Parts: sequence; C-alpha cells; structure tokens
Amino acid sequence: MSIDIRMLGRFEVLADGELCPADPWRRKHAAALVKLLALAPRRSLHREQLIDQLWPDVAVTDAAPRLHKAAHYARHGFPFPERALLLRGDTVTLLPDDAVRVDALEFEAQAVAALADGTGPAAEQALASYGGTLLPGDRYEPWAEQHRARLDALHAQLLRQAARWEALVELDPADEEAHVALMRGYADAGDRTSVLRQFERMDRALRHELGIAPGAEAVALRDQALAGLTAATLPAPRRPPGPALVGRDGTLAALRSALDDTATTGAGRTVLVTGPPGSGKTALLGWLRSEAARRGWRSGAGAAATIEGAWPYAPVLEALADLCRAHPALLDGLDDRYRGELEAALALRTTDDQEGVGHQRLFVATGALLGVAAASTGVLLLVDDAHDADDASLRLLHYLARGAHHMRVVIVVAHRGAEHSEPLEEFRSSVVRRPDTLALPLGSLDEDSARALARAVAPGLAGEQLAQVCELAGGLPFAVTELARAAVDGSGGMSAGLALTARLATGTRDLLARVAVVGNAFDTDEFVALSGLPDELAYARLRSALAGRVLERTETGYRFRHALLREDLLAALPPERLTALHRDAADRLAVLGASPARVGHHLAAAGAVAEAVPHLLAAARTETTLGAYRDALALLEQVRAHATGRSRAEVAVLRGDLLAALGDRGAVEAYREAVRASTGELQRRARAGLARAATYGGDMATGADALEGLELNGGPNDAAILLAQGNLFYFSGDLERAWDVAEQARALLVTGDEGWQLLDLVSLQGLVAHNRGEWFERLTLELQQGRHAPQVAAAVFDSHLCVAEYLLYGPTPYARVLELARTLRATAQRAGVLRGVAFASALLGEAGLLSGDLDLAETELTESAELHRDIGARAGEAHCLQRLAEVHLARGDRARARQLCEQALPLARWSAIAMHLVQRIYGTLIASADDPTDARDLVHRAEATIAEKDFCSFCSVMLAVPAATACADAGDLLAARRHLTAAQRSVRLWEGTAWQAGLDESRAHLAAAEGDLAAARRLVEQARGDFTAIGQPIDAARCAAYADRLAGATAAAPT
Amino acid sequence: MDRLSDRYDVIVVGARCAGAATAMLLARAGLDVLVVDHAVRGSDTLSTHALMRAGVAQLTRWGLLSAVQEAGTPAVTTTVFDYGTHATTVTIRAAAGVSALYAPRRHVLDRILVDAAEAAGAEVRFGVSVRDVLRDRTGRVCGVEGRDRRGRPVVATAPLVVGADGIWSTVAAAVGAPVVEQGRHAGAAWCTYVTGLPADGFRWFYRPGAAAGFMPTNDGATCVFTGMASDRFRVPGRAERWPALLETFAAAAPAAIDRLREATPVEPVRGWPGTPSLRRHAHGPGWALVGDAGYYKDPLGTHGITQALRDAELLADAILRAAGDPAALDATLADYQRRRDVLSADLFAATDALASYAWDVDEVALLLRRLASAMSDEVDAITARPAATWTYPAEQAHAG
Repeated sequence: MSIDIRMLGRFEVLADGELCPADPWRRKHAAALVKLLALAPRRSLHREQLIDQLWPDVAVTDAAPRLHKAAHYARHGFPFPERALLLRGDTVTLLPDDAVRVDALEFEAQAVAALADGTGPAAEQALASYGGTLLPGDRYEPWAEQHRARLDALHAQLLRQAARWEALVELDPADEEAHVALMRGYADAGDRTSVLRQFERMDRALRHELGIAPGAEAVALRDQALAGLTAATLPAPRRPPGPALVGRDGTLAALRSALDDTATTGAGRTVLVTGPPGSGKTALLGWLRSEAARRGWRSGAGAAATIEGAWPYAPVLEALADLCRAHPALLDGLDDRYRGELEAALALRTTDDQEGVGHQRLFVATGALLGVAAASTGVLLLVDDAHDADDASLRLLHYLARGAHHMRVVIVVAHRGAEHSEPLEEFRSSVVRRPDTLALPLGSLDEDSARALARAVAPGLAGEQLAQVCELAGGLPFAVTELARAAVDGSGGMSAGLALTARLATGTRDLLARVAVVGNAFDTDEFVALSGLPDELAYARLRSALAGRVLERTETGYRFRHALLREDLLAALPPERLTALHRDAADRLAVLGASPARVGHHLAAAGAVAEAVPHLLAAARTETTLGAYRDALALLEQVRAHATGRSRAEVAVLRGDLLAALGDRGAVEAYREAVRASTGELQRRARAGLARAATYGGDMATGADALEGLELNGGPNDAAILLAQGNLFYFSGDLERAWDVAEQARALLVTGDEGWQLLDLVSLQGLVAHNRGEWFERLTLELQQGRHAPQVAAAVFDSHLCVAEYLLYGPTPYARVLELARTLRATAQRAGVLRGVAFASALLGEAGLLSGDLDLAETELTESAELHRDIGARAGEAHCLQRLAEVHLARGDRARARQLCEQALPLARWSAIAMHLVQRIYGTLIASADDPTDARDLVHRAEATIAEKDFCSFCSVMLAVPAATACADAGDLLAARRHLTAAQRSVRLWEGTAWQAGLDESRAHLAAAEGDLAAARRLVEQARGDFTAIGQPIDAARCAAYADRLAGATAAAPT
Repeated sequence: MDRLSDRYDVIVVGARCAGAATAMLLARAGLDVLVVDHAVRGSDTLSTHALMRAGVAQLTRWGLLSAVQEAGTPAVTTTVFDYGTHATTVTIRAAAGVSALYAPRRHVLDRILVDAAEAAGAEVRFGVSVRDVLRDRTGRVCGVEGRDRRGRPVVATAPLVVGADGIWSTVAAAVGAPVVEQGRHAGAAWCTYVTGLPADGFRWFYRPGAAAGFMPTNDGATCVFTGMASDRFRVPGRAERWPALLETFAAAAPAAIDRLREATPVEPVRGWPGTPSLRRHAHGPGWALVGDAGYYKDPLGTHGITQALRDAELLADAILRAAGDPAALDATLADYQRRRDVLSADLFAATDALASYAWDVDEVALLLRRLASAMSDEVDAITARPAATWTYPAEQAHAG
C-alpha cells in the first residue's frame, strides 16, 4: 500500500490516493508523533528523542505511558493500525514496511538539487512542488520550529533564485534585495512612480526596526527616480523658506538661547510652542531643526496628526525612530531589552507577559535611548500637532521632559493654542510649572511684519492689494503667504477668505477629500487604494496635486502642504459625503492591511459602529498592553453600546480592567455589566474583577456575592479568583484566611511573571503583614538585604510606600535610609522598573522631610509624584502629594499644603491603600489649617468622611494625633480626649518610634487646654527632646516654638 | 647611503594600521608613497584589537573587510557589558553598511593594509628605523633619515612626512610636535591569548577599580585582557604573569574566572604599564601625524584602531585636497586636525575618565554610554563622506 503524508500547507494522510479519516489527528500528541516521525530520517526516532520533543517538562519514566497512548491513537489514523507504528526496543518507527511519500521531504530534496543547479528554471520546478509552509496548524509547537525554519529558508532561496521578487516581499516585507530588484525593474521600464512606490513599501516594512533604513542601492534608485521629476513634485526641503519666519525675531532668539543654554549647562529644556493654525508652528520647528543641525546636534521629529486612528505613543515613537534612522549607531549603546521594547511598540507587537507593566519598560527604554543620544552632543526632539496626541503620548512626553532635565535635550512640543483636551491640559499645566520650560505663544504678526512677509513671498505686491492681503490674513503667516501668492498669480479669490482649495477642479477636490479623510500624510499605496482609480490615472492625479501645491512629497510618501488645506477639504464636505468617505476608507484600508485602530476608527466615523467593534476592541487591547489605558478606554466607549454577544462581554471585562487600573470607581459597574454579558471563563474573570473592585471600594457584600459559588477549576482565572477572595478576607478583617488564600495564589503564579496579578499578590500580602505589624521589619530586612537585587526592586511599588513608614519612623538612622533608598533606586533604574524607582524616590524624599532636609524632600517627592503619575500609579502619587504637603507645611506655606492634600484625597480614596492613606492626608490637612476653628472643622470633615472601612489601627495615629491637637486648641476637650485615646491605642503598635513624641505633643496641647500649663510644658519638652534624639528637627522645632508660647502664656497669666 | 629615490610625494613613517592605511589611500589616489617601519614584515604588536563600527565601515569601503574575514577573523555580533550587579547585552545589527564587528590580530590587519598599500603602488620598506627628519633651507620638513637593519644610513625626501610611528613617535619628537592635551589618568593592562573559550562576542567586565574582557580573534583564540589603574601595576617575573593576569581578572570578572582558568594560554602574557592619553598638534610645515603618534587614548576605550583608520582617511583627504600646493596643504592639514579633534574630544574625555578606574559600576556605565554616543558621531561622519573622496587625478599627483 502506498501512503502519502502531506505536511506542506496542511496535514493529511492518504492511503492509495484515498484520504484517511482525520479524527485521530484531533489528538494533539498522536498527530505530533506521526508528524515528527514522518520528518525523521528513515521515519525512525529514539523514544527519548520523541519524549524530549513532545513532553519536554516530563520525566522519561512518566512520559513513557503517554508515548504509548499517543502511539495507540496514532495507529488509528491509518487503514492498518497494527503495522503503522512500530515500537521496538527504544526505537519508534512509522510505517516501516510501506511505500511512503512525504511531500515536505520531497520538496526538500528537490529544493536542494535546484539550488545546487543554480538556475531559474530549476528553482521554478522545485517551487511547483511547494504546497505552503510546513504544518501551519502547529505554528506554535516548538518541535516543528526547526523543520519549518529549514523548509521556509529553502523556499525563500528558491524564490530568490527564480527572481520571484513579489512573492519574496509578500513572504518577508523587509526583504531588501527583493524590493531593490523590483525597483530596478520599474526603473528599467521608466516607471518612476512605481520605483518610488516600491521604495515607500520597503521603507514602511523597515520602520518597525529601529535605526534600519533602506540601503544605499535603494536610496540611489529612489534618487534617480526623483531626479526625473519636476521641481514642484520633489520633496519639500527640510529648512523652510526664510519668509515664513518674518516677524518672529524674539521667538527665534529665545529658541536659539534655549539650545545654547542646554549645550552649555547640560540641563535640558522643554519648549511649548502654541498658536492658532497657520501661525507658523511647523515652519518654526523646521527652522529649529536646522539650527540644531548647525550646532552638531542630533534631532528627531514626529507629528500627532499624521494619520487618523494612529497607534499609541505614535508621535513620540515616530520622533525617536526618526532620530535612530539618522544615527543608527546610537543603538550600539542601547541594551537589547530597551531596543526590543521600542520596536515592539513601533510594530504594535504585544507580548503576553507584560500585561499592565510593559509600558513602564517602554518609558525606561525611551529615556535610555535619549540618554545615549545626548551623552556626547545635544538632542532636539520635536513633537508637532500635540493637540491631536493621545493621552499615552503626552504621558510619555511628560516623563521624557522631566528626565531631560539632566541631559542635553531640548524637547519641543507644538500645539494649537485654543481649547485643549484634558490630557493636553494636564500635560501643559504640569510642564509649564517647571522652571526649565519655555512657553512660546505664536501670536498674530503685526502690520509691518505681515507686509514684509507678503512682499517677501510676492515681491510685486504693493499698494491697495498689499493692504488687502494683510487685512484679510489677520496676521496669520500662512494666510499672508497664501493670499499674497493668490493675489499675484490670480489663482484664488481673496474676497472669500482663504478658500485654500477652491481653485481645484471638482474631480481633484473629490479625490483629495477621499485622501484627506485618512489623515495628513499617506503613501502611494494608500493614495491609489483610496482613489479607486487604476494606477496610471491615480499617479497622474497625484502629480497634478503636487504641481498644484496642495500636496507635497515627503521622504516616505506625501502629505498635505498644510494641515489647513486638509481641514478645508474636509470642512467643505456635506456630512453624508464625509460618512460615505469614512466607510470607503475603512474598506480600502482593511484591504491594505491597516491596523485595527485605523479601520475601526473609520468604521466608527462612518456610523458603522457595530462593525467597528472587533477592530476597536483589538486596538484597545493593544493600547492596554502598552499602558495607554485612557486611550484604550476612549476606544471602548465608542463601541460599548454597540457590542453584542461575546464582544460585548469582552468589551465590558476590558473596560472593567482599565477602570480598575486607573483607580476609577466605575470599575464596579463595568464588571457588573461584564458578569451579565458573559459566560464561562470570561464570566469567571469578570466576577473576580467585580469582587476585587467592589472590595477596594468597601462594598464587601457585592464582593462576596460576586465570588459566591466560584470554585477553582484549574483554568486561567484561578489566580485572579484567589486574589479577589484574599482581598475580600483582608478588607473584612480576616487576616488569617487572607494570608492563606494569598499563599495559594502565589503557588499558581509563574515565577518571573510581572503581571498585575503578582503585584496584587505582593500588595495583598504586604497589607496583611502591615495590619499584623509584621511587615515593617520584614520589608526593612528585604530592602536592606536585597537592595542590589532586581527582583526586590520589581516587587516594591506604591502600596508599599505606606508600609515603609516604619522604616522612616523607626530606629534606622536617616543617613542609612537615604543610602538604602539611593541604592534601591539605582537597582530599579538598571532593571528598568519604574515602580521601584518611584518608590525609592519617595523614600528618599520622606527621609529628607523627616530629617529636616526640605529641599531634598521637595525635589525627590515632586519627582516621585510625577513619576507615579506618569506610570498611572495613583496611590503612590497621592502618597507623595501628602508628603509634599508636609514639606510646605514645614516651610509655613499652609495654603499650598492644603491644596496638595485636596489634590491627594480623591487619588487616595479609591486606591488599595485608602485605609492607610486617607487618615494621613486628613492629618496633614488638619495640621495645615490657618486657625484652631478651621482645624476643628477639618476634624469634623475627616470624621464624617472616613468610614469604618478606612480604618487601619496602625495608620490611625497619623490622623488621631493632629486631630487631638486641633480639638484641644479649639477648646473641644471631649473630642480631643477621644482622639488622644485613639492615638494612644495606635502608638502602642509603633513601639520605639517617634510617634511617642507626637503623642506627648498632643497631650501637651490637651493639658494646656485643660489649664495645666506646667504639665503642658513638661510634655512638650519631653516631645521636643524625643524628636531631637530621633533626628526629626522640624518636629522638635515646632515643639520648641510651642514651649515658648506656653512660657509666654505662663508669664502673662495672673498670679 | 641608501638613497631610496630622488623624491616621493609623501613619506609615511610607520606601517601599522594608521600608516599603512594612509599610504594605501594616497597610493590609490596616484601619489608616490614611501612607507618605512623599523619592524619586520608581518610582526605582531600589543593591541586592543577591537574594531568598532566606524572602523569596520572603513575596511568595507576600502574593499578590505573580505580579507579580514577570509583570514578567519570571527564576526562579533554581540557585546555584553557585565557590571556584576547587572549586565547589558547589545546586539550589533546591520546599519551604516556594517553587520558585525571584528577583532583581528595585528599581524593580520596590519599586513592586509600593507599589502593593499603595496598593491596600490606604495613602496614599503621594513627594517628601517627613522632617526630624524630632514629640513630644507626654510626649515620645512622635506624628508627622513635613518638606518636599515644592517646599520646602513637611509635617506628619503618628500614634501610631506607623515609620522605614524605610535605614541613614542620619533617623527613627533623630531619635528617638536607640541602635546596640546594630556589625560589625567593612565590605565595599565595585562593581555594574552587563550584557546578554549567560545567565540560568542565581546565580553567586557567592570568592577570598581578593575576591568577585563574577552575578544574572539584569529586562529580560534581569544584575546584576554585585564585593566587597572597604572599605580596598581606591578611587573613580576615572566612566569608569574599568568597568575597575575588571573588575579586581576578575578577582581574584574569573578563570574568568568573559572572559564578563564580552564582555557589554555597560547602566548606569553604581555603587560602595559600605562601612560596618560595625549593629543599632539597634528601638523606643521612638511609634516603631519596620524594614529597614536598624534592622538593616543588609553586602551580601555578600545578605540585606537578605529581612530587610526578614521584619521588615515581624514589625513589622506586633506593631503589630496591640497593637490600638491604647499600653502593649500597647510590649510587642509589644519582642517584635518580640526576634524580629528572634534570627532575625538568626547572620546578622549570619556576614555580618560575610564582610565582613572575611580568609578563605580553606574558611573562606568555612563562613561561607556558617552563613548557609544561619541562613536555614533564618528559613524555618522564616516558614512556621510562619499566613498571615493580619495581618488585623485593622476595628472595632479606629482604636481609641485
């Protein structure tokens, strides 16, 4: 009997030409056994070789029965089971006695012969027997990898030998040789546009790799093609024409001095360029880039508005990729891990093990790249059109802008000046406060400058015409330029405003509107696809749009000469036409293989929201992986009401996860919806999420309901369920069971996993230990012993900040705490763990605060608060803001202290450490009150706000002490005594710390209020002495001042 | 007296990488070039070996990389920086026309360059020790005089003498080239070759006060070096040098010392007591300096060969641009010096700081980052230059 085993492009077994039943192959290991043997020499392998490949993690003795079982089922895939598989001694053989043909092996033999022959026809002949990639159904099976790679390589070599370049490009879009061969073919045929189009395709394929650009041969072919084009259609020069910057002398001087200052001092700057559309922002950025180049600086530029539905971090990553392309050797100084992070983000690749924390490494990677680039010379990073930037981009820019302070880096962000989106406003208001930020608004040109500009553009313009141009332009440089040109060449009416595109023929306008829908920039493939025209006709239209100065060529495609031209085209479209064009764009971009975000964006814009659901859901997942939570949420909000079935459940679960990650109480409702919409594992995940979110929000009943009847099933959501149970036990006060369940969860989590579940686990165990009073010592010990170990840096995070208090108030000398924190920070920095960096900075700041170094405290706490905010760790941010409030309080700026507390409160309230943090924030708020009455009112507010669930017996001291003091000062003795009792209870848990002194200070206030000034003096002196001894000079000074006041009061008292 | 020829266009003193490369480029452009070197043909010399990206880019452009590869020099595509607390891996990927780095033995690289110079028409004389330069009536340098291996006097004249004779340059001393900048620190090193280590890329190790490295080179051997501040360098008896190397290696790379102990040393251990980096004024009437003769940097920066090749091209370019006009030559040589100094300034500063060995692991990582950044400038400068700037119209070659 003859047997055919087909493995290329499929898996089938035929006996005498008849297809055998496929049922046995549903058993994974049975099928794998046959496949492996079919590919082996003489179809025979040692049984240990098979076991190694099929059950790599199982001992040989345990795997042997599995092998026998697999063989048993495999036999039934053949018409004669008894002789299909032979296990003799230690050897397993497939079909030892039959004539067997294996297509993969036949192809391999033919390919080898054809390659030895070296001719095109021989390669074609071998290619004819290629049925597709090896075993596509086993794409992720490690045992198939080597075989597949070998055959794929042979296939590619044959294609090369046969000069089948299109097929090679399809196989590997980054195959440079194939692109160049295609370009050369087009060039020989005189088809310049196709040469350029192929170049764009190659360039696009290479963009996912940092620092990789088309090679010299491809560039030469492109340049040859460009050389044959008319001047108007050539790429726009990088340096803008001089007249565009007429009247901006002050701005130019400020920018020059920003570059020079940074070059001299090594301290980076951030520049915000704002102005209405047409005010010359982009021209200014172009000029600045040439100024930087003149100084030998490196630069990279990106723009936010380039395409609709762009990827997260797009303009920033674009700028960094631009930098690397111009200076590829910079990557020789960048750790592979960082390069990998950047490339994954550029390619929108997502990896499973990064859920929720991958973006932190991306942040570190971008910082590291800038660090290398700026280590020997200045770097200019330009981000244009930031008003269209996503939230993630602005957070990353904020992070870079802060980090650039110590580098020769100037970051320039240009955006329109009118109303800002919330993320842009948050970015601006934070950046503007920094002393190294330069805000440069671009206003209207004055009359003289406008005239000068108009004359520079159109030298013949004079008299009334000139005046009219200036009047109509309203001081906008772009308008002046356009109107002046129009006035001279008569190409456009001046009376009807700008009418930028009015002069275009209707057909051209319509075509350009189709393109305008997708964004400001596009490549030839997109233009042709969107035009719906045959290539030649589309090329002709493209040339005429270039000649008409509506479009301009870029190095990698085309763009509208000015964003206003695109906006003008879109504004002129009736709504139904715009909708139709979006629909059309979605369909055509989908055919081109555009990202789900782009396709989904256009579908949604076309009103086909239901159709957009899977696309936008996929896009939201990518955004989530890259840490762009708010952007992901915005996508989900678009489709939420339109999703049905499983998509609805998936949208709801992801939405819950995102809201929970952002500390938004809406997570509970989102998860409720998810539970209703889902079934099976997805519902288990939703219920675990609901329980966790509800528990964090203090709603134990909902938490318990959600988990009711949810048993472990060995599935993917067991760890999440256990963690939810653990949190429920913890917040219900059952510490024992919380700890047990957490230990159970730990066993399920893979070592080395840095996902949110591990963080949740560490947090939960930390909190349990905190309440037990055990964690302090444990953390101190871990930090001291493991400050050089990356895994310790990775395990600390914002929830631990509160836990670290013991270290601060305890017996460890501050110099030691500072050293510890600095080392930990260096370790975390090296490991690329921003949580750890932020934690260590906060610890440094707190140690500075308590030891009286307020400048250090302010610097570090500000840095830590901002870093926590950049990475979306709101609890850590709240913690630092509260500590910053103490810094300002110590400096006597009570108003600023209160402001910071108010800022911290909403962030703290919904965090996992609310029960610890909220009390402290109120404590500081009370201490920051201007007078005793206000302080007493704040105590009332705290009492009314802090529910039982917010209560931590350790942390209550931080509220009880200031509350007792405030009530005593306000004469409310009953309340003062009550708070003092609470404080005493809590202080007992803090043995050997400075809180004893804090308690004495409060007692002094109560004694004074009770009229026992002698006791008051004694107590405050005691407190002062203790604070001094423990090294908290600010507290000691406060006690000393109070002691003086008491002394004054005693002196003034009637005898 | 052995009067080699009436007159050459250029005499290059030193046939190692800077001198041979300069001579090759000038000869390829049609100039009459004499190269003299006191050593014998194909001899070895103490070296840092590693060619950085710019150096490989130049060998590629000159058509010589294939000879380096054919000599069995392993391609290096991975560099690991091991700091003890952490390690950084950098994969060298194809960019700027370079897809791997190399660390050829000097008897391989220098010979390839000398052969290429000879193939281009340069006359190369080994075993000639230059003692002094000759000057014309105006004091302008116009040739060299020295002795051959048998002690016979040798004299040769040319309108330009290039000193490529290393840090202790005779030419630099003879013309009185001033040292314009000197480093503050000096690093010492032990170095040898071993077999039995995998050729899996460059491995650099840094610990406070110590550095070490593995560089896979020709014949299946690996160059092993250890570095320390020069004041810690002691010269023991010859037999004690391998233990001395092992001891300093263990300080810098405790995790790799066992691997090294198991390897087989195949050559004697050589020591370098260290001398501070220095930059000399690079040109004067009738003379110019290239390579270590003009600009020596501590070996810990592993940039010497790369800079030698780069400056050879910058110098050859300057000579050719002057087209034989002495006045123009003074200007183009000044431009050569300016370009050399701009490209080297950061490398010099960072290398000097490295040579202090007074860094901790974070500081050394920052210094290495600075080196990488400066080398990127160098690659940009090299790749921005047209590949054939050194072609020189033959009819102008003998002008003047």
